[in-house]
Amino acid sequence: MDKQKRTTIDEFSAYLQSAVRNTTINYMNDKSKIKEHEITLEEDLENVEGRGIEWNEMMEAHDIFWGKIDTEKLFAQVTDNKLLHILKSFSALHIKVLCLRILYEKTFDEIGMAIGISGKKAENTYYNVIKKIRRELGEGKDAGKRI
Amino acid sequence: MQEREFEELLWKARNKDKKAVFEIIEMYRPLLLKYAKSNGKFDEDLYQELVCAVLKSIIKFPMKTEEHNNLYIKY
Repeated sequence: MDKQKRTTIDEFSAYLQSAVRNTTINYMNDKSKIKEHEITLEEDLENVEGRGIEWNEMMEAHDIFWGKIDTEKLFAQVTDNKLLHILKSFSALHIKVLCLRILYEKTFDEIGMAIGISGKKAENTYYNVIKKIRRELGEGKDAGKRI
Repeated sequence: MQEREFEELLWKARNKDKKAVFEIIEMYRPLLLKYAKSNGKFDEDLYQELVCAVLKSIIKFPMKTEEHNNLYIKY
């Protein structure tokens, strides 16, 4: 009789011990899973910084698509007053073509799409503008390098 | 604690007697504290989980039918 009674408390203790052990294992597994997917603040910041460049490129492409081309950027890079004066005498279309080609490094097809003309026309416009600048400056082929 | 006392205590705990439940938790506190360590430190959340495990065990523990019947008649 005594043996049977002892068995009951022992059984409960064993039952409880295995339940506690299993709970601990499950808790540790869950915790390690959470830790695996955890991102530290430093990693998060690195991701944001990395994506910042992509974001800027995307916004630039978006602006170009909607015809928002910052021509002032081109003027800001010109150090020669004479060249600046010549550039400011050009029409908005010519300046846009120059900007897209020189600053944004777009192909003629991309330039054509951005401002609503054909790629060939964009190419012709660009070379005409370059030719005009060289003629106005009265210099040789190296004149274009000032931009 | 006598075996009979423990069986009664367990039975009371199964019948939602708060005092009996606390007494069982107190009885097994050293076991819970031993397991409630994460990286050598006491983990409060884990301890709470283990207390829940004790409560579940009280309810789910399969008591022997003879003891169960005797206690059922008594209470």
